[in-house]
Amino acid sequence: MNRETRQGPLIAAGLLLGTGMGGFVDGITLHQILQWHNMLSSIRPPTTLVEMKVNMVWDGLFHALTWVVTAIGLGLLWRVGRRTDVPWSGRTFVGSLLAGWGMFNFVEGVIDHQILGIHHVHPGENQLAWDVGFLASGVVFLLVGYGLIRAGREDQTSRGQGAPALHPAGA
Amino acid sequence: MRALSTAFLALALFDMPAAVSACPNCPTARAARVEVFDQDFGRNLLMALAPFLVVGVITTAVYRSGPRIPTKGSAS
Repeated sequence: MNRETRQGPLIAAGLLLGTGMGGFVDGITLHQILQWHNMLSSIRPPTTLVEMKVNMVWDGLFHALTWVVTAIGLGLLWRVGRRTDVPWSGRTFVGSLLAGWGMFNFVEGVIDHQILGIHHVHPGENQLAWDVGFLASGVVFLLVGYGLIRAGREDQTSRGQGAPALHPAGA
Repeated sequence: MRALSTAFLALALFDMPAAVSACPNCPTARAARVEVFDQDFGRNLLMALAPFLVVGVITTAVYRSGPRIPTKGSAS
């Protein structure tokens, strides 16, 4: 009988946790510490105290959504740790974290910066270059993450109880 | 016990100016709330949600149909 392991659940957990980490880096570093942009700063420039507070609310919503994604990722990771058909692979997990961070940078960059234009990474001179650099960082993280996930296919030991594996193929 | 009470009282007194200046219900805060919940609220909410929805769809697809790898030594 064919037996197989599944990488999907661990990758999914890593993607969500990577998205959360990437989102928090964006929100904490670019929104708050450096103050390069806010959530709606290109359509509602924070040039008055009221507009600044409006942007703070939307930044808060962004952080809240990032927290929810992180919490779901933790839940998925916990469940993966109890399964016998999902290999507990450091390479797969770290690769998924990087891929999740890259996916967030790319998706958020395309939607918020390019399509909707609600904010840009560093508005003003060279705005497009900063936005393209953000997208490029996403692609690089995705590629490095994908490489690690592929390498993780060699790992077959699960963390859950019992022998590794497994579902009959095609089940 | 008395020292602890004094410490808590001192802490509360030190925190009071910060709480006052946080302005949770001053005219500026009320004006900001009106601006947040204006006619664009739904559109802004959708724009804020959009990247997370896409991430959710991609992650769900990976969870359901991610790589399945035959174990070494399993019969073919």
